Amino acid sequence: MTCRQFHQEVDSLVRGDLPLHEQEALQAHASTCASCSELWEDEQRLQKGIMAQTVPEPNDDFESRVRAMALAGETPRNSTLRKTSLWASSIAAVLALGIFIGMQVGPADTGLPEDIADAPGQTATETVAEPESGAELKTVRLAFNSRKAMDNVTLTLELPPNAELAPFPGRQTISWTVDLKQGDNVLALPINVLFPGSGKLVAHLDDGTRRKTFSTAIPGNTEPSS
Amino acid sequence: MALLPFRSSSSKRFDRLILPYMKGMYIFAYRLTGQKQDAEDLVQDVVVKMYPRLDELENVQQPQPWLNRVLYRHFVDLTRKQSSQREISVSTLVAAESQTAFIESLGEASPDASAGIDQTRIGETVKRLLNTLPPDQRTLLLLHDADGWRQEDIATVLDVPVGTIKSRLHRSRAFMRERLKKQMEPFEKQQREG
Repeated sequence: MTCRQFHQEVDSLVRGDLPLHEQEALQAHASTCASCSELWEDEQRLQKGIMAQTVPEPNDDFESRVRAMALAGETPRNSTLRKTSLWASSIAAVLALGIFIGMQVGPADTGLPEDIADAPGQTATETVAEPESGAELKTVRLAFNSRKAMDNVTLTLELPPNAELAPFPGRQTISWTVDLKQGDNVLALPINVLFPGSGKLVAHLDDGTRRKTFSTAIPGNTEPSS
Repeated sequence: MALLPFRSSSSKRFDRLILPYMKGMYIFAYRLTGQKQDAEDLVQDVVVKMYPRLDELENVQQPQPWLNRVLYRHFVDLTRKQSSQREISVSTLVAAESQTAFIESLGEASPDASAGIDQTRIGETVKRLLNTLPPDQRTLLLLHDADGWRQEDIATVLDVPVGTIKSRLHRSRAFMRERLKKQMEPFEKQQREG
């Protein structure tokens, strides 16, 4: 066993990837070589640190949300009504699990205008894909906080002329009924930016008697690729 | 009269062909992005994109690496669009030589050595050091050493030869080992003197 061999195999030694006789040979070498012994310790320390890099569990709604979004986009582009129904029902299912969107609700009253507030600065937009159409697909995240759950609230989204929700091509206004959960919630909207320009995404929440409106900019000042 | 094969409903097909692999996709996406929300969004994008291609997925022998590869390509497309940020210099994936140069260029970019480091903070220190690596290097190390991916599987997903994976792992570990040691020295010296 040489130091060179030890250097080449120390990674595998630490991870236990070697057969026993090779492990023993490397260990025997390290017991007689101070620099290789130090290298072994360094590698063990590194592996300990790497193993500590755990992956956090996804949000509880992760699978159901992604499933809902996928199933919502399954219908042909000319079947808008069915698509709306599917998407809305999927979103409703997701919301029923308490994930989609929340809002600031007052401690005692449930009156919408007084008690609901958006969360400035919690909106993020990022380009995530380039659809075949040449439009630019962005994910716009709307983040809200709700102090209490609310059922049967109508959520309406209004998009600027140069944008459309990916599952609903050609539509700038979409509404559906949702159950809002308590606490922090994020809505990730897949939005196609059809042509350069910027505009506002407006979201209305309506409990049947009163309405609260939020808006956020959709940056679309990049040239869509052709 | 020919009998048409039974075709399950779309939702059942989704549950059979994609759902079992979404957690694995999420873990991979997290290793790529380093952020929980970004990882979820990445998976969502890919799944929505893949959903119309369930027929294609039906014939895939090993869906997990196949889906991960689609996800990786999507991630690369995304990051290339953000080329102004060093964090997404995925182009360094292509040339091992340029990777080495990149790593060496980071030599002075290590975190503040004066930070109190003790044995229980190795994980935090390694995390900071990992963030100085190009994302593909970081992902490679984590997939292999933390998540237990085989080199062959990583090579398939990243579309590079196994030999390249092996050499990149070796170089990345050497870099990390050296930097971690430097980070630990003040603390160890303090321990010896104390």
